[in-house]
Amino acid sequence: MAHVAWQYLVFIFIACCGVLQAAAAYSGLKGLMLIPRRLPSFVLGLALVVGAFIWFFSADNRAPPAGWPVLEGAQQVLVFGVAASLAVGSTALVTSLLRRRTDKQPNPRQEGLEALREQGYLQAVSRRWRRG
Amino acid sequence: MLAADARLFLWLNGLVGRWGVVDSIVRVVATDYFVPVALSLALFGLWFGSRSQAQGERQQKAVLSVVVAVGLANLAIVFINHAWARPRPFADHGVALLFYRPTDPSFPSNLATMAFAMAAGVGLANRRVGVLAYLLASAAAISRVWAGVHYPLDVLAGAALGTTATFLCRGIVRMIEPWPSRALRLVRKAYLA
Repeated sequence: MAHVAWQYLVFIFIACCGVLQAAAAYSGLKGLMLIPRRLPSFVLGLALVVGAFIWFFSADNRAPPAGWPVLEGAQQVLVFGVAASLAVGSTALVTSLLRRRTDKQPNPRQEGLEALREQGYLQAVSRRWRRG
Repeated sequence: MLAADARLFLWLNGLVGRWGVVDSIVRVVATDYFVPVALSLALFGLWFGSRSQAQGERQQKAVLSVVVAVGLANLAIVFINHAWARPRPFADHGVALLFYRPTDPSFPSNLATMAFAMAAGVGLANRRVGVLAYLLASAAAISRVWAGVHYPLDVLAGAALGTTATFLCRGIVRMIEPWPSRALRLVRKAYLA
Protein backbone atom coordinates (compact mmCIF):
# COMPACT_ATOMS: atom_id res chain seq x y z
CA MET A 1 0.00 0.00 0.00
CA ALA A 2 2.80 2.40 0.94
CA HIS A 3 4.37 1.98 -2.51
CA VAL A 4 1.11 2.89 -4.28
CA ALA A 5 0.59 5.83 -1.91
CA TRP A 6 4.06 7.20 -2.65
CA GLN A 7 3.58 6.82 -6.39
CA TYR A 8 0.20 8.54 -6.12
CA LEU A 9 1.70 11.37 -4.04
CA VAL A 10 4.46 12.00 -6.59
CA PHE A 11 1.95 11.77 -9.47
CA ILE A 12 -0.41 14.34 -7.91
CA PHE A 13 2.45 16.61 -6.82
CA ILE A 14 3.88 16.83 -10.36
CA ALA A 15 0.44 17.14 -11.97
CA CYS A 16 -0.60 19.91 -9.54
CA CYS A 17 2.67 21.79 -10.20
CA GLY A 18 1.81 21.54 -13.91
CA VAL A 19 -1.76 22.74 -13.41
CA LEU A 20 -0.48 25.67 -11.33
CA GLN A 21 1.88 26.70 -14.15
CA ALA A 22 -0.88 26.47 -16.75
CA ALA A 23 -3.37 28.34 -14.52
CA ALA A 24 -0.81 31.05 -13.66
CA ALA A 25 -0.01 31.50 -17.35
CA TYR A 26 -3.73 31.73 -18.25
CA SER A 27 -4.37 34.24 -15.44
CA GLY A 28 -1.18 36.25 -16.00
CA LEU A 29 0.03 35.58 -12.46
CA LYS A 30 3.73 36.17 -13.10
CA GLY A 31 4.40 35.71 -9.39
CA LEU A 32 3.57 32.00 -9.72
CA MET A 33 5.22 31.34 -13.09
CA LEU A 34 8.53 29.45 -13.22
CA ILE A 35 9.21 30.93 -16.67
CA PRO A 36 8.43 34.66 -16.95
CA ARG A 37 6.55 34.27 -20.27
CA ARG A 38 3.01 32.99 -20.55
CA LEU A 39 3.11 30.61 -23.51
CA PRO A 40 6.23 28.68 -22.37
CA SER A 41 4.75 28.50 -18.87
CA PHE A 42 1.50 27.10 -20.23
CA VAL A 43 3.36 24.52 -22.34
CA LEU A 44 5.53 23.56 -19.35
CA GLY A 45 2.39 23.08 -17.27
CA LEU A 46 0.73 20.85 -19.85
CA ALA A 47 3.94 18.84 -20.28
CA LEU A 48 4.14 18.24 -16.52
CA VAL A 49 0.51 17.08 -16.35
CA VAL A 50 0.76 14.78 -19.38
CA GLY A 51 4.14 13.45 -18.21
CA ALA A 52 2.78 12.71 -14.74
CA PHE A 53 -0.18 10.77 -16.20
CA ILE A 54 2.02 8.77 -18.57
CA TRP A 55 4.48 7.89 -15.80
CA PHE A 56 1.81 6.89 -13.26
CA PHE A 57 -0.21 4.70 -15.61
CA SER A 58 2.80 3.03 -17.20
CA ALA A 59 4.70 2.41 -13.94
CA ASP A 60 2.27 -0.26 -12.65
CA ASN A 61 -1.04 -2.00 -13.30
CA ARG A 62 -3.64 0.40 -11.86
CA ALA A 63 -6.45 -2.16 -11.90
CA PRO A 64 -4.67 -5.03 -10.17
CA PRO A 65 -6.30 -8.32 -9.18
CA ALA A 66 -8.23 -8.57 -5.90
CA GLY A 67 -6.06 -8.54 -2.80
CA TRP A 68 -3.41 -6.30 -4.34
CA PRO A 69 -2.87 -2.93 -2.67
CA VAL A 70 -5.03 -0.07 -3.96
CA LEU A 71 -5.78 3.34 -2.50
CA GLU A 72 -9.33 3.61 -1.16
CA GLY A 73 -11.35 6.76 -1.85
CA ALA A 74 -10.69 8.45 1.51
CA GLN A 75 -6.97 7.68 1.24
CA GLN A 76 -6.91 9.19 -2.24
CA VAL A 77 -8.56 12.39 -0.97
CA LEU A 78 -6.03 12.65 1.86
CA VAL A 79 -2.98 12.07 -0.33
CA PHE A 80 -4.36 14.44 -2.98
CA GLY A 81 -4.75 17.16 -0.35
CA VAL A 82 -1.19 16.68 0.93
CA ALA A 83 0.32 16.59 -2.58
CA ALA A 84 -1.67 19.63 -3.78
CA SER A 85 -0.62 21.61 -0.67
CA LEU A 86 3.02 20.64 -1.24
CA ALA A 87 2.72 21.71 -4.89
CA VAL A 88 1.29 25.11 -3.94
CA GLY A 89 3.91 25.60 -1.21
CA SER A 90 6.90 24.61 -3.30
CA THR A 91 5.71 26.61 -6.33
CA ALA A 92 5.21 29.69 -4.14
CA LEU A 93 8.66 29.23 -2.60
CA VAL A 94 10.59 28.57 -5.82
CA THR A 95 8.89 31.33 -7.82
CA SER A 96 9.44 33.80 -4.97
CA LEU A 97 13.15 32.98 -4.97
CA LEU A 98 13.31 33.27 -8.77
CA ARG A 99 11.49 36.60 -8.80
CA ARG A 100 13.16 38.27 -5.84
CA ARG A 101 15.07 40.74 -8.04
CA THR A 102 12.81 41.14 -11.04
CA ASP A 103 9.82 42.80 -9.42
CA LYS A 104 8.00 45.71 -10.94
CA GLN A 105 6.29 47.89 -8.36
CA PRO A 106 3.08 46.01 -7.58
CA ASN A 107 -0.32 47.67 -7.33
CA PRO A 108 -0.92 47.94 -3.55
CA ARG A 109 -4.70 47.77 -4.09
CA GLN A 110 -4.59 44.26 -5.52
CA GLU A 111 -5.38 41.52 -3.05
CA GLY A 112 -5.45 37.72 -3.08
CA LEU A 113 -4.11 35.95 -6.16
CA GLU A 114 -4.41 39.25 -8.09
CA ALA A 115 -1.52 40.56 -5.99
CA LEU A 116 0.72 37.89 -7.55
CA ARG A 117 0.52 39.45 -11.02
CA GLU A 118 3.77 41.38 -10.54
CA GLN A 119 5.33 39.95 -7.38
CA GLY A 120 6.20 36.60 -5.86
CA TYR A 121 4.25 35.01 -3.02
CA LEU A 122 6.84 35.74 -0.32
CA GLN A 123 7.25 39.32 -1.57
CA ALA A 124 3.48 39.83 -1.29
CA VAL A 125 3.44 38.40 2.23
CA SER A 126 6.42 40.51 3.36
CA ARG A 127 4.89 43.70 1.85
CA ARG A 128 1.65 43.03 3.73
CA TRP A 129 3.67 42.37 6.89
CA ARG A 130 5.51 45.70 6.51
CA ARG A 131 2.24 47.55 5.85
CA GLY A 132 0.87 45.99 9.02
CA MET B 1 -36.48 -2.77 -15.42
CA LEU B 2 -33.72 -4.83 -13.78
CA ALA B 3 -34.05 -7.44 -16.54
CA ALA B 4 -33.64 -4.77 -19.22
CA ASP B 5 -30.69 -3.37 -17.25
CA ALA B 6 -29.04 -6.81 -17.21
CA ARG B 7 -29.69 -7.28 -20.97
CA LEU B 8 -28.10 -3.92 -21.76
CA PHE B 9 -25.15 -4.82 -19.52
CA LEU B 10 -24.65 -8.18 -21.23
CA TRP B 11 -24.77 -6.55 -24.69
CA LEU B 12 -22.19 -3.89 -23.77
CA ASN B 13 -19.92 -6.29 -21.88
CA GLY B 14 -20.24 -8.71 -24.81
CA LEU B 15 -18.20 -6.24 -26.89
CA VAL B 16 -15.10 -6.96 -24.79
CA GLY B 17 -12.41 -8.58 -26.91
CA ARG B 18 -13.64 -7.20 -30.25
CA TRP B 19 -11.35 -4.17 -30.36
CA GLY B 20 -8.14 -4.51 -28.36
CA VAL B 21 -7.48 -0.75 -28.42
CA VAL B 22 -10.87 0.02 -26.86
CA ASP B 23 -10.29 -2.59 -24.15
CA SER B 24 -6.91 -1.05 -23.36
CA ILE B 25 -8.43 2.44 -23.10
CA VAL B 26 -11.26 1.08 -20.90
CA ARG B 27 -8.69 -0.54 -18.58
CA VAL B 28 -7.17 2.91 -17.92
CA VAL B 29 -10.36 5.01 -17.88
CA ALA B 30 -12.19 2.57 -15.57
CA THR B 31 -9.51 2.69 -12.86
CA ASP B 32 -10.11 4.41 -9.52
CA TYR B 33 -7.51 7.03 -10.49
CA PHE B 34 -7.76 8.34 -14.05
CA VAL B 35 -11.03 10.27 -14.18
CA PRO B 36 -11.18 11.33 -10.50
CA VAL B 37 -7.65 12.75 -10.74
CA ALA B 38 -8.29 14.45 -14.09
CA LEU B 39 -11.44 16.13 -12.77
CA SER B 40 -9.84 17.05 -9.43
CA LEU B 41 -7.00 18.68 -11.35
CA ALA B 42 -9.54 20.60 -13.44
CA LEU B 43 -11.14 21.91 -10.24
CA PHE B 44 -7.70 22.72 -8.81
CA GLY B 45 -6.90 24.67 -11.98
CA LEU B 46 -10.21 26.52 -11.88
CA TRP B 47 -9.45 27.63 -8.32
CA PHE B 48 -6.22 29.33 -9.44
CA GLY B 49 -6.97 30.16 -13.07
CA SER B 50 -9.13 33.20 -13.74
CA ARG B 51 -8.78 36.50 -15.58
CA SER B 52 -10.61 38.62 -12.97
CA GLN B 53 -11.44 38.50 -9.29
CA ALA B 54 -15.18 38.15 -10.03
CA GLN B 55 -14.57 35.17 -12.32
CA GLY B 56 -12.21 33.69 -9.76
CA GLU B 57 -14.74 34.03 -6.97
CA ARG B 58 -17.46 32.35 -9.05
CA GLN B 59 -15.14 29.45 -9.87
CA GLN B 60 -13.95 29.10 -6.29
CA LYS B 61 -17.52 28.94 -5.02
CA ALA B 62 -18.21 26.18 -7.55
CA VAL B 63 -15.19 24.27 -6.21
CA LEU B 64 -16.46 24.71 -2.64
CA SER B 65 -19.85 23.35 -3.75
CA VAL B 66 -18.17 20.24 -5.18
CA VAL B 67 -16.18 19.59 -2.00
CA VAL B 68 -19.39 19.60 0.06
CA ALA B 69 -21.27 17.67 -2.65
CA VAL B 70 -18.72 14.85 -2.71
CA GLY B 71 -19.09 14.40 1.05
CA LEU B 72 -22.88 14.52 0.83
CA ALA B 73 -22.99 12.06 -2.08
CA ASN B 74 -20.72 9.63 -0.20
CA LEU B 75 -23.10 9.76 2.75
CA ALA B 76 -26.05 9.08 0.44
CA ILE B 77 -24.20 6.06 -1.03
CA VAL B 78 -23.74 4.59 2.46
CA PHE B 79 -27.50 4.85 3.11
CA ILE B 80 -28.40 3.44 -0.32
CA ASN B 81 -26.01 0.50 0.17
CA HIS B 82 -27.68 -0.28 3.49
CA ALA B 83 -31.11 -0.23 1.84
CA TRP B 84 -30.15 -2.28 -1.22
CA ALA B 85 -26.89 -4.18 -1.56
CA ARG B 86 -27.13 -5.03 -5.24
CA PRO B 87 -24.67 -7.78 -6.20
CA ARG B 88 -22.05 -7.01 -8.83
CA PRO B 89 -22.76 -8.26 -12.37
CA PHE B 90 -19.98 -10.87 -12.18
CA ALA B 91 -21.77 -12.48 -9.22
CA ASP B 92 -24.87 -13.29 -11.34
CA HIS B 93 -23.66 -13.52 -14.94
CA GLY B 94 -20.84 -14.88 -17.03
CA VAL B 95 -18.83 -11.70 -17.48
CA ALA B 96 -15.74 -10.72 -19.47
CA LEU B 97 -13.95 -8.88 -16.68
CA LEU B 98 -11.34 -6.19 -17.47
CA PHE B 99 -11.02 -5.09 -13.87
CA TYR B 100 -10.51 -6.49 -10.37
CA ARG B 101 -13.59 -7.74 -8.47
CA PRO B 102 -14.77 -4.96 -6.15
CA THR B 103 -16.37 -6.18 -2.94
CA ASP B 104 -18.80 -3.30 -2.26
CA PRO B 105 -22.40 -3.21 -3.61
CA SER B 106 -22.94 -2.40 -7.26
CA PHE B 107 -25.67 0.27 -6.89
CA PRO B 108 -24.97 3.15 -7.24
CA SER B 109 -21.55 3.42 -8.89
CA ASN B 110 -19.15 5.31 -6.59
CA LEU B 111 -16.96 6.36 -9.51
CA ALA B 112 -19.88 7.69 -11.58
CA THR B 113 -21.23 9.57 -8.55
CA MET B 114 -17.91 11.28 -7.81
CA ALA B 115 -17.11 11.91 -11.48
CA PHE B 116 -20.48 13.54 -12.20
CA ALA B 117 -20.40 15.57 -8.97
CA MET B 118 -17.03 16.98 -10.04
CA ALA B 119 -18.06 17.41 -13.69
CA ALA B 120 -21.14 19.37 -12.60
CA GLY B 121 -18.90 21.61 -10.49
CA VAL B 122 -16.52 22.16 -13.39
CA GLY B 123 -19.55 23.00 -15.57
CA LEU B 124 -20.79 25.54 -13.03
CA ALA B 125 -17.39 27.20 -13.02
CA ASN B 126 -16.73 27.13 -16.77
CA ARG B 127 -19.17 25.83 -19.39
CA ARG B 128 -16.62 24.97 -22.08
CA VAL B 129 -14.39 22.99 -19.70
CA GLY B 130 -17.59 21.57 -18.22
CA VAL B 131 -18.52 19.90 -21.52
CA LEU B 132 -15.14 18.12 -21.52
CA ALA B 133 -15.62 17.18 -17.87
CA TYR B 134 -19.05 15.65 -18.57
CA LEU B 135 -17.56 13.71 -21.51
CA LEU B 136 -14.83 12.38 -19.23
CA ALA B 137 -17.34 11.44 -16.51
CA SER B 138 -19.51 9.69 -19.11
CA ALA B 139 -16.47 7.80 -20.40
CA ALA B 140 -15.74 6.63 -16.85
CA ALA B 141 -19.35 5.50 -16.39
CA ILE B 142 -19.53 3.59 -19.68
CA SER B 143 -16.09 2.05 -19.14
CA ARG B 144 -17.19 0.56 -15.80
CA VAL B 145 -20.10 -1.21 -17.53
CA TRP B 146 -17.87 -2.28 -20.43
CA ALA B 147 -15.29 -3.61 -17.94
CA GLY B 148 -17.95 -5.76 -16.26
CA VAL B 149 -18.14 -4.24 -12.77
CA HIS B 150 -21.41 -2.23 -12.98
CA TYR B 151 -24.86 -2.43 -14.53
CA PRO B 152 -25.95 0.58 -16.63
CA LEU B 153 -28.53 1.50 -13.98
CA ASP B 154 -25.75 1.73 -11.36
CA VAL B 155 -23.84 4.35 -13.33
CA LEU B 156 -27.00 6.24 -14.33
CA ALA B 157 -28.04 6.45 -10.68
CA GLY B 158 -24.51 7.55 -9.76
CA ALA B 159 -24.56 10.25 -12.44
CA ALA B 160 -27.93 11.54 -11.22
CA LEU B 161 -26.85 11.43 -7.57
CA GLY B 162 -23.54 13.21 -8.18
CA THR B 163 -25.02 15.92 -10.38
CA THR B 164 -27.93 16.52 -8.01
CA ALA B 165 -25.58 16.73 -5.01
CA THR B 166 -23.49 19.45 -6.68
CA PHE B 167 -26.49 21.53 -7.77
CA LEU B 168 -28.01 21.13 -4.31
CA CYS B 169 -24.77 22.26 -2.68
CA ARG B 170 -24.50 25.21 -5.04
CA GLY B 171 -27.96 26.21 -3.82
CA ILE B 172 -26.83 25.83 -0.21
CA VAL B 173 -23.69 27.90 -0.88
CA ARG B 174 -25.91 30.65 -2.32
CA MET B 175 -28.36 30.36 0.55
CA ILE B 176 -25.73 30.79 3.27
CA GLU B 177 -24.20 33.92 1.70
CA PRO B 178 -22.30 35.98 2.84
CA TRP B 179 -20.42 33.19 4.70
CA PRO B 180 -18.77 31.61 1.62
CA SER B 181 -17.67 35.07 0.43
CA ARG B 182 -16.27 35.83 3.87
CA ALA B 183 -14.40 32.53 3.92
CA LEU B 184 -12.93 33.30 0.49
CA ARG B 185 -11.90 36.77 1.67
CA LEU B 186 -9.95 35.13 4.51
CA VAL B 187 -8.21 32.78 2.07
CA ARG B 188 -7.53 35.80 -0.17
CA LYS B 189 -5.62 37.41 2.71
CA ALA B 190 -3.23 34.45 2.50
CA TYR B 191 -2.94 35.09 -1.32
CA LEU B 192 -4.48 31.67 -2.05
CA ALA B 193 -7.79 32.74 -3.60
